[in-house]
Amino acid sequence: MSPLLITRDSLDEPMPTYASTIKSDWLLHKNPTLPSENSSILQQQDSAFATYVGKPRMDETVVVCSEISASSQSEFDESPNMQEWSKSSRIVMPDSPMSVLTVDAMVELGHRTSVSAVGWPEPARSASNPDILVARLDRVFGAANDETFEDGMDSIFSVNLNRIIHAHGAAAINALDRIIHACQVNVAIIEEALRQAGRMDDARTHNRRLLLLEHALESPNARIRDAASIGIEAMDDPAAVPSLQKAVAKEQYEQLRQNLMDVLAQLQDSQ
Amino acid sequence: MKQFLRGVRQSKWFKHPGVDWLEDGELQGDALGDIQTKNCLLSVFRVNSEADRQRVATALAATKDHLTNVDYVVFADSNLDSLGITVHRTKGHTPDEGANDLHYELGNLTVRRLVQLAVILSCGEHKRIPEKKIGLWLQEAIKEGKLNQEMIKPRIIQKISHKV
Repeated sequence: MSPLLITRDSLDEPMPTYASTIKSDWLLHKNPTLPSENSSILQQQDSAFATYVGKPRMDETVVVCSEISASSQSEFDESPNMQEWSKSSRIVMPDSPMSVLTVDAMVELGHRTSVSAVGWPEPARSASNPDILVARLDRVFGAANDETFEDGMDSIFSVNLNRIIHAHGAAAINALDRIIHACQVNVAIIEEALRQAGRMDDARTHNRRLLLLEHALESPNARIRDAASIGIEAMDDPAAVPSLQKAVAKEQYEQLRQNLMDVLAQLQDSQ
Repeated sequence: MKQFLRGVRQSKWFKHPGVDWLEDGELQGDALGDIQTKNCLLSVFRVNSEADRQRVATALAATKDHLTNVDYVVFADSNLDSLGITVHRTKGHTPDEGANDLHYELGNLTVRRLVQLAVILSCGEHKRIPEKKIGLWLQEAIKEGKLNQEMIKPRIIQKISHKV
């Protein structure tokens, strides 16, 4: 498949004609060359890309690369392969501010694709600064205040969270844990974050995500405990049995207790 | 007496003492988000048996972006008429034609009636079908030819073929 091109202009279109050829497992990196006062443009870009997630039709992984200016190079210190892909995008489309390369296209270009375009290589994650990650996640949580979440449906928030976790691995989960336990976030967003943490296909962060969810079972908020149980159920890992047993024994609210017992029974069956 | 099923997010319907700031008998405001109307209509499914519930829950799961648990509430129609809420049979839009035939719309919904409906739903039977079971049900329904696979997101098909 040939590389696809998305320009800033076309991002404003509600549904580009090639959207149906894009698979949901893409990574979007915001164009760092845009000045910060253009945050609404960035938001629009995110919305436009989130639209694709709801319309996947082919098993094609897509990576979105941004052009990098010299002044913003430091933004990418932690993702050297992003720099590499970005350079190649300029080779493919020299006048474009933003390009989309399919994985197939990157293979053609001889670039590294073994990370399946859903994660950065190890140096990227080890370079993740906890405070910067918390600040990034804070922004993602803040932007989600106006979103409505529905079970089983993608949201801009879940896509952004997914992207950060894929990029920064366990460090992102640590940051997420900090935000959740600071208890200053809308509970509906925390619910969504915990469901997303349970649902992700990312073996590298499996144990850390499970720990996050087990930790959330101890929340004083019943909705958070419930979302944690849903995340644990989705992970289907019997390692969570002791935490669930403790949660069942402690749970006072009958309906939630029943939910926790159902998850416990499922995990015990899996043992 | 007819029974209807509506997909919800169960935690929005948690009451006191689960949500400690709620007074006894009160509902969280977020619950109204689960009964958002379109053109003053609300989509529900009539369920006469456990088999109907399974069929509708599976059909609802098949409309999603990704595999997930399904929370629903089953409630009786006994008070709808006295509240002035109408019930009309219409075709559903899920990938399961059989489930679509069980689809109804509650109509004439005003703000006051919606709040009264929320109270009815809160007293209904709240049930959660876990993701794992939903995966099995979806696979079974596909095998039996009940679901139009073209209407299901590839991610769901991919996940159930891995998981189940």
